[in-house]
Amino acid sequence: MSDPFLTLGIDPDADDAAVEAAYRSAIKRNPPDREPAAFRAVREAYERVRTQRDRIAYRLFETEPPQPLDLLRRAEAHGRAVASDSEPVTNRPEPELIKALLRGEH
Amino acid sequence: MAKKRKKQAHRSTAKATATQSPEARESEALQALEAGRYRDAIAALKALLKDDAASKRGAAPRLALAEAYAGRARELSDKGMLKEALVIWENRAALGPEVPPALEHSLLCLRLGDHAPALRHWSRGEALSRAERERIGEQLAAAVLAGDEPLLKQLAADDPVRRHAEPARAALDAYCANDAVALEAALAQIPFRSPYRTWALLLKALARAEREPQAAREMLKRLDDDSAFAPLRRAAEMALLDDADLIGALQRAGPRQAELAARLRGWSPQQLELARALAAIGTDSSAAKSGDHQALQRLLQRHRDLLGADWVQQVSLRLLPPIPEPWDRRPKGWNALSPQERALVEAWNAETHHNAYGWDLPEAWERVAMTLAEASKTGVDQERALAIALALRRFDARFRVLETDQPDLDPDSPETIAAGQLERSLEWDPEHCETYLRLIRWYRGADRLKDARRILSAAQARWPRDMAVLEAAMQTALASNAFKKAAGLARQMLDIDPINNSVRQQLVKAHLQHAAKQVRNRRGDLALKEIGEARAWVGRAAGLESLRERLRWIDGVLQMIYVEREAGRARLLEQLEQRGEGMLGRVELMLAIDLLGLRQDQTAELLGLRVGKVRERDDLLAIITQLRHFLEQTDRFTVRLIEQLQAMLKGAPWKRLERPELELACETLGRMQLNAARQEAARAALKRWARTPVFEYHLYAAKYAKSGHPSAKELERMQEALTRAQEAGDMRVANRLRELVQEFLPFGGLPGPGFDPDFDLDEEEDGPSAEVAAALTGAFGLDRLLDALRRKPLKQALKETNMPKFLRDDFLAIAREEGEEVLVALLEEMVSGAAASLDDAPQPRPASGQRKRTSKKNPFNVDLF
Repeated sequence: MSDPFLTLGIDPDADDAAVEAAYRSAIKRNPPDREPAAFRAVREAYERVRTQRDRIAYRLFETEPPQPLDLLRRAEAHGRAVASDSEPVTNRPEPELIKALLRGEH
Repeated sequence: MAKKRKKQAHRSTAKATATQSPEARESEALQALEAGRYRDAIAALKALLKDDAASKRGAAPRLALAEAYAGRARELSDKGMLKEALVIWENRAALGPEVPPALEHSLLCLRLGDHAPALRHWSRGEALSRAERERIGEQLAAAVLAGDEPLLKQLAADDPVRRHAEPARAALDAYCANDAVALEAALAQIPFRSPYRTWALLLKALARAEREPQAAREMLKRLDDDSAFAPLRRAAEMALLDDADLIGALQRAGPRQAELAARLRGWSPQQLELARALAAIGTDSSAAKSGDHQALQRLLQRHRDLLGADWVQQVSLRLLPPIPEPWDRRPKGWNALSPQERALVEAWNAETHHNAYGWDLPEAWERVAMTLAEASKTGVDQERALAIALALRRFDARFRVLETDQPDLDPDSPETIAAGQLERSLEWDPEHCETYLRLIRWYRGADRLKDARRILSAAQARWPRDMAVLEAAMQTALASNAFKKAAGLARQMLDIDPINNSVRQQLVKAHLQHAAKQVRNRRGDLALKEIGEARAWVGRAAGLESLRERLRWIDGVLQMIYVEREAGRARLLEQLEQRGEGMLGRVELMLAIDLLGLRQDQTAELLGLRVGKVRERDDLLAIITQLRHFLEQTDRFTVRLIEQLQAMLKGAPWKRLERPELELACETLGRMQLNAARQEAARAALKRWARTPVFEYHLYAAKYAKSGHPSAKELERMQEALTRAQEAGDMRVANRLRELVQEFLPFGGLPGPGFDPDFDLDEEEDGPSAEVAAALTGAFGLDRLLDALRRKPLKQALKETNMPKFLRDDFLAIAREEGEEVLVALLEEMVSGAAASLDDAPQPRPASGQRKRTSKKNPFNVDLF
């Protein structure tokens, strides 16, 4: 099972309010009628880290090794958290990169 | 050397082909061309044109060669070998004027910086088809956007590629600067027929991808594969893939495309590097489980900053190799871990590998709690306190240690240890109600009422109006016979939840138990008082009619026995009369008498009642309902009650009941242990609905509930019923039938006699169990069976075991086929194996008779000391 913090896109030290907000936003993005599998994953993740006790219990008792994709998701989440402290993240490329591709540089 | 060999081989092939006729050679070359083997086709056609003058004059081989050149050039372009492709196109152009100039050649020249051929094509204007014009225009537009200024200068001022270049470039800048307004304004200046139309579509899709990925995917699909903007489209599509697919796609993508996809995803170059590394070790979970933890561990450490040091440290612990036993060598880097990390990893291993002699699980979690408490010298914050409490609760939470029917009060028992840990956990986290309730329940069950009350008072101080705490308090009060206190608590609960019938039922049950106790003490007055209080609790509450009626019967019986015999008798007879002619009233009375622990025959005598029979359908149904209600209130009843009910239900009109009614009746009769009546009901049902699995189950479960063993035919019927239940998808009945069959099959369902005599029981994970021993010996005892086998003739020894006849017959058949010695050896091995699995079973003594045979694998032969 994937890391619930990463499924919800929150930091491991998030508080109850942050967990709740992340859950609400995740189920809005993944409504049960359109994205049932994703909704289930979000729901399960929320149940695992809903309260402070749950989150501490996860840290103490979870023994499943991380999935390789968890590393990628964690890098994204951590990148966002770090960037929010310094500068906003942009996903727009430099014009030069697009020009290079148009020149045939694959 | 290799080159030389290749040349020689080529010369020999050329020699061989030269001997063929020109027509055959041409045909072979055309076949290669058709099959897409362009290199072969080129070689063959070139050789043909060189050697055969007649063919030289014909245009067909030349055109075929041109086609082969074009095919090969496209192959090279697709591989990114643009310069090599250009050479091939030039070879094609050199074939002569009858070979028309190829548009792709011109476009490739354009990509490589030579504008002239493309501009020549472009200048033909109306002579070009619309598709060709659009294609060249788009390529010129892409070249302009890529920054080809000389090309732009060569275009006429009114050329659309030049005219729309400025807004197209402005759109690119606006998109990259994330300026939505400027982007929209720039795109608005690009008309629909412009060579930059595809460019505009691409930019709109890219801008939309962030918020509406699905819409962006749809837009990107509208860009052709041979479009000048296709490389950008592919990168954008890649960015819209889910993580697992994206990682796979990144492996195949070129560096620039991967860079753009990563950028569109919002990734840093380090993230892209991580993604590529993950792709190399495989992203599926099976790869993660297959032991490639070291690779993940290395990645975690390499990207520590990117992933966050705390997170890396935490998940790295989960990737450490297992430590199956406490004395095993610790993994590399163990000493670099903090004491609390070491304790945590040990506790995880204790949970995974715990056994009687290895890790001590409660101690392992205790150590985690201790290290957590010690780690903070300045004091423990709330989070750490919670962690300590959770560690102390883990042993009970994981194994539900305190949820036992028969508490073990030994100070070293797991339960007592778990209870101690829970108590200490409350010092760190006193706000966890569930822990208080678990402790109260266990202390109450263990009859440690003083401890239960101590914990209860702490819980009540925190949650005075919590229903669960109030209920625990009421139950503890009832267990202490403190009825007044329980009543007060019940009132509090009913104030909060007035329709809580469970509270009333619990109190009534307690009063009834107390009344029965007073009856045993011959204190009828006090018993009546208890019943009066119970009636007050039931009152007029809805849903408790059955209970109210039962209390009326009990009251009547007590009045008759202890207060005024005639008045009580008259009242009971009146009540019986009100119930009509059937046996329902009698059953209600019998149940009431049983609850008080009074003798059935004495009361019947006082009332002048004789044993009757159930004759009517409605009466039978009402009795079944009454029995169900009785079972809801108690699970204790006397043998005398069962006997009387059995007599009353003998010959009852089961055949007049419908199928669901019979199913319900069988269930209820089963719970009441009325097995004869249950058999009758099941038989009646099977006559009407033959071979129905649920009734087959009830028939045999009732028939062999207490003793006996089904015949082979009956076992076969059970197995058939099991198969039918499985086929019908009725898993509840199938499971019950499976359990029943396993109970009767020898070796608990393992292959029976007649199986391979070389079968080694020691190789089986689940060795023969108590069921095997029971099937083999009946009530004979394992050691006596072995003795009998050694001293007596085989047939007599088997007969004395009381084992089922069919099993005995099978064993004798093996003895006839394989010889007695083989069978005896086999039985000895089975019995030894069964004994080994029984901790409490008498262990077989070493054989002393003539047939003494020592198994090397017999665990009892191992001298441990």
